Amino acid sequence: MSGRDEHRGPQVVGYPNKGTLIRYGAAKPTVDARVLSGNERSPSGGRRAAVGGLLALLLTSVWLTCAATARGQADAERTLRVAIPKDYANLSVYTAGASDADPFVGLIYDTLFSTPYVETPRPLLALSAEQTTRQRTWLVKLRDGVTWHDGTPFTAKDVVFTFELYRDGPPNRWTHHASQTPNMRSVVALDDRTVQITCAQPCPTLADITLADLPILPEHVWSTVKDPATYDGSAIGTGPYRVLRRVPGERYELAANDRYFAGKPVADKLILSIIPEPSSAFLALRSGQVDAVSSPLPPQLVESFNAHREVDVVKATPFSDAELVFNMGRAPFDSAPLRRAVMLAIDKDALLETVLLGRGISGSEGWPHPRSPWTGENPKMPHDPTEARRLIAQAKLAGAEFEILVPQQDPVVARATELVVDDLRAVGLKPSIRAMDQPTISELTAKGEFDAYVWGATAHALADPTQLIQSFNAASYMGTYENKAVKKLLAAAQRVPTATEFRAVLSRTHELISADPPVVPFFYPEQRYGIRPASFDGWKGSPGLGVVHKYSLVAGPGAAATVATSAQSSDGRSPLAIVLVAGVAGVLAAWFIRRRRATRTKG
Amino acid sequence: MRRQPRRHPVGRRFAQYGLLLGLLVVGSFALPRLAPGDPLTYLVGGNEAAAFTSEERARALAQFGLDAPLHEQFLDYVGGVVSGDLGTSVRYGATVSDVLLDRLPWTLLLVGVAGVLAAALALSAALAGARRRGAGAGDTDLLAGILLLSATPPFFLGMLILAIVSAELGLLPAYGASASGGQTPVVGVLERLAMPLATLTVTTTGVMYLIARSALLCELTQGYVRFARAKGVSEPRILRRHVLRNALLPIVTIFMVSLGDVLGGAVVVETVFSYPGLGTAIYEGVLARDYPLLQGALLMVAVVVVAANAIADGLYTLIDPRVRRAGGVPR
Repeated sequence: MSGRDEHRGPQVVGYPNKGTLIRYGAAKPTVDARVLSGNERSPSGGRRAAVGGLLALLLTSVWLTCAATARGQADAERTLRVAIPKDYANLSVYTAGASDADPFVGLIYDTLFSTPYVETPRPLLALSAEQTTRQRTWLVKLRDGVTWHDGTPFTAKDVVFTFELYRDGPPNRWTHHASQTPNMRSVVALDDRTVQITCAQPCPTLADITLADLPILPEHVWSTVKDPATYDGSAIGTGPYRVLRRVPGERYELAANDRYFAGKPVADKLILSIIPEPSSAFLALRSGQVDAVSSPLPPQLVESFNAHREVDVVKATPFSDAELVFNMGRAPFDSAPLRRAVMLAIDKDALLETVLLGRGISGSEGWPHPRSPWTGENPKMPHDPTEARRLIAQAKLAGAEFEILVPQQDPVVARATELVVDDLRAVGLKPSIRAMDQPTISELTAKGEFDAYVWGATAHALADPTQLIQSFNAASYMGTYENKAVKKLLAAAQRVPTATEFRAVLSRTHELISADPPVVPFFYPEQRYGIRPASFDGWKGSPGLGVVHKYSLVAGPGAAATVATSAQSSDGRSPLAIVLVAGVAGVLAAWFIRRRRATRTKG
Repeated sequence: MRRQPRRHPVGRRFAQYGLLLGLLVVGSFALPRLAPGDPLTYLVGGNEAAAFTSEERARALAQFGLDAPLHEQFLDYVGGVVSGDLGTSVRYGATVSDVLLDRLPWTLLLVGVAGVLAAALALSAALAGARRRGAGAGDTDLLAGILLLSATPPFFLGMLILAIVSAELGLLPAYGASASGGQTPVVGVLERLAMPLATLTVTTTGVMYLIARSALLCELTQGYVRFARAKGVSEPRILRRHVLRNALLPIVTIFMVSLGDVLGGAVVVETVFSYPGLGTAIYEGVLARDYPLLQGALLMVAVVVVAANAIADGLYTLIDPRVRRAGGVPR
């Protein structure tokens, strides 16, 4: 305690809600009431407050303007900013993860042919691929003059190395398309530009599916990598964009590959910003902080984005679905009549209308994806609750209890499953729902410890027939399906020599599957993606890939769409907001200085 | 009479921390593995993982040493912790240490500044409340306001701030942590820090405020306060020079203990604002069942919290001479 406080006379002070206290000590000198209330102003104090306020206003304006200007300067090159949902490690094929990474991995790496989800994939790194008269052998001619991002020429050795690595190396998502369906028995470089691939069995879809699916790796980089799954060096491909910089967890900065053989990249710089929370990504799109979002818009947001002045909505067929998968290895779904009854009981058209607001294709059009180039005229999967009740009664399974596992992170699928449960109760079954995260569902399904589960299958499962065959041969998923006729047809599909025969076998398989379904599709969403056309209006929906992929981001022949520079594109920061913030900061600073001065005067 | 040998309090404290760290190593190994699932779904995708044979599954997991029996994995982990090698992340393909060190600075910046700001806010509000105990605007309204904000889920508050400040007003960027596109680095970092910081600060102020207010009010009933008033010492001076000093012990304790909560809150806040800290790494690690990353991250967070408690222990002796004389925290 300082000496100043120690000797004071009696003094009455207020003490809130405690009555008054009498203090003993030196009486304070009387001061003007205006001073005590803080209303007294001296000319110098007012000036200080005004100067302080102006200074704060000025500094805030300078800061915000500098920030905005710096951003504008950066955008002077044609830069596109895209929100992506997660960190795909170094964007290399072994660490980027599952097939959801395909569109982004595809910006860096190329395949021999373009996407497998179209009727006729066009050649990319390959010029042509021909099935020889021996039916199991293909001769692939490669494009000349292609270089990797580091300047090394691309040759047949890279193709041989890649397919052998996929086949014999550590398993990744492409392994079984080199080791099983199809089984590439040998891959030989006949010269620098020709590769001969020989399969264990006839492989009529090799060019259209396999060679369009497997990204090619540079041998000179990967041959020195001891463990591909832990390779964290730069991703070097032949693709239209090369990795300039990776900020872990935050963004990828890609630069245009000016030597790209298949067209000019539309942006000089492509920034892939990692925004895991979809709502945050859509807010960033709305405010112009990104030019596109790679994730589809939820159905309920489509109208609001359609009405937005600066945002357009682009349609794409993702080749995904929401489907109910049965455990056919145990009761009650080892019963084929019950599986068919469940299929008939579910009102798939109503699900589409209620859950997706009609945007998509009803599951009643059959399975797999009705718009896949490999799906013919699918027999329908109709809604017939009367027939469902009859089948259940006939199988003596009325009141059968079972549990449906649902991924908790997917509200659309969860909502659809709730409605499905109502349909199933209406025909006398007793289903229950259990929500859990996807890895838990995967473990339970791998062990066969489930009755049924709902999930969203991807293009790889729904539009790639080699993956379909693989799924039926697998330990889980379709592996417990015991329809002998289907199994026989799938085995035949791996022996037929021509694509036409392959399609015919597939078509018969689809018919049998519709009658005895191992899965019941609820719907196939037709997804919409939000983009800002002022920045770039050349976004194209590609089946199975959405809108953010290399086929959007490379100018094809006669393409007019270009990426706007900063002069045309908005930087997402409104001048009004800058003035507002500066104003508020100024007022606050002035208030603070006045208050501080008043307190000092009181003291 | 023979004197009992007295164990040194500092040595005892270190032994306690050593034991705790041992338990943390076990816990950080066991917890991620208690959750069902394995990293294969992330590594190759659901369809593809389902299509794998058991031999392929084992080969895929062997790349990360996850095919070995649990006791072998544990011994590897302990050996790695001792030698500073936390293994390789399944999710990122890089060493766990590299992944965590990339993320740690951002979390320390966010959590550190939020902790200090929350403490400053809580203390200021508690001082104001203690001075005007029972008064509407000065105390009860403040109490209600702070509790309301603190009770707001960080996810909701974060989205609200994001929608207004970033989407509607366009003031601040909605995602990221570092400057991009030629922006001044400091400006970029501050711009991106502002919203997550505000969210985390607001949602963690409440507990600190309650403890601080309670400690201050308790001290205000002490005789020395009455004596000081009787001497005519001004009320602000009593609060700042006498009451606050005596109330510091519980306040420091709650501040250090709250660090764990703040780190927990950071997981949600970092996800909402796409802030690339430890929180998002843990979230992504959980989704991918990335055991090496999860065990490394959990261990690191636990060590930070234990270190904060150790610092609090040390601070007690500086704050309160009685603790120093008693050789430890009074019980």
